[in-house]
Amino acid sequence: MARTGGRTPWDQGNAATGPARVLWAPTTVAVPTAPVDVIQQVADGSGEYPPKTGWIDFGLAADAPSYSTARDTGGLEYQQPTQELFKAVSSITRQFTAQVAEIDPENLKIIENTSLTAAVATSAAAAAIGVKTAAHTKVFTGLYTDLIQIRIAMVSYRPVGSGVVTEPGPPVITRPPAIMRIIPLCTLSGDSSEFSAGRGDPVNMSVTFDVVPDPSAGAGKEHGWWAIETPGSIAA
Amino acid sequence: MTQYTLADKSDFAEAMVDGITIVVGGKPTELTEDQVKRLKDAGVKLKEVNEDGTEANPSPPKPVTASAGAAISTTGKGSE
Repeated sequence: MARTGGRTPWDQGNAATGPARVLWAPTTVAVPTAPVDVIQQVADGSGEYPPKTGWIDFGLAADAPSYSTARDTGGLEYQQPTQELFKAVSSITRQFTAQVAEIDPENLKIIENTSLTAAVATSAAAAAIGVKTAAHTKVFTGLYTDLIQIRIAMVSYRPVGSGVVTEPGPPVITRPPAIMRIIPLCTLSGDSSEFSAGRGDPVNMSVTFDVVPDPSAGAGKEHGWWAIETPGSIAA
Repeated sequence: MTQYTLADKSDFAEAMVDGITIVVGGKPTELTEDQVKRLKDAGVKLKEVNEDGTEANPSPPKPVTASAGAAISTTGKGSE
């Protein structure tokens, strides 16, 4: 869209909004090189956009995910000038915080930094009533020194009316363009995850990840990429 | 009764039924048909094994088929 607005022009086609879809994948899944490596870009017959093999949706969230990109700089000071003449970057920090309201084994494995789970079968029909049990999954929690590394993807869309992507169908679907942030490698941060189970409130846990360099990405690409979908038609 | 361990590609590190714990590569465990059914209902993938832990019903080896070898070029010229 063109910029309009007289003396203070803007392009509403560049606006973005929530809610966002957040997915993760273990590092056994190949580093995505395109949005279609994470989720299907064209709806299936049921109108769904399923994740690609290995990618898992965090799903429900009772709060919005957040992303930060930060840097520390230091100045080079000299005796003569009374101001720093040069700036140098001393560190770059990117973080992503997912909000998790689907309390299921896969999400808990990430939050608890574990891969140890057990499936417990339902009790036998002949079991005494005091020991009868339903089938359940245990997610073990314990001590650890190493942090699991995972991949993260966030997908959000522009507001309706700011641009149109037409999918080939059938049925032909129109939708706003997507915006994706792909983080090829991150670990749990030192931030805590906590939840409270109060009446009338959804149980929700935030979990923060530190982005770490992906050594296979190449210079200037270590922390992943954004993908900005262009309005238009996807060829049939 | 048939003996089982947890399949290598199970989504779980352990499986439990009636107080019995089954792990990948662990000691072969005798299970009843009912226990196997209940574990499968809980999403567990089991592997039938012999008492020594080897696979009980390994898939038959693939038949060996003759294949043409790579053609070797003999048209190159040596240095003169």
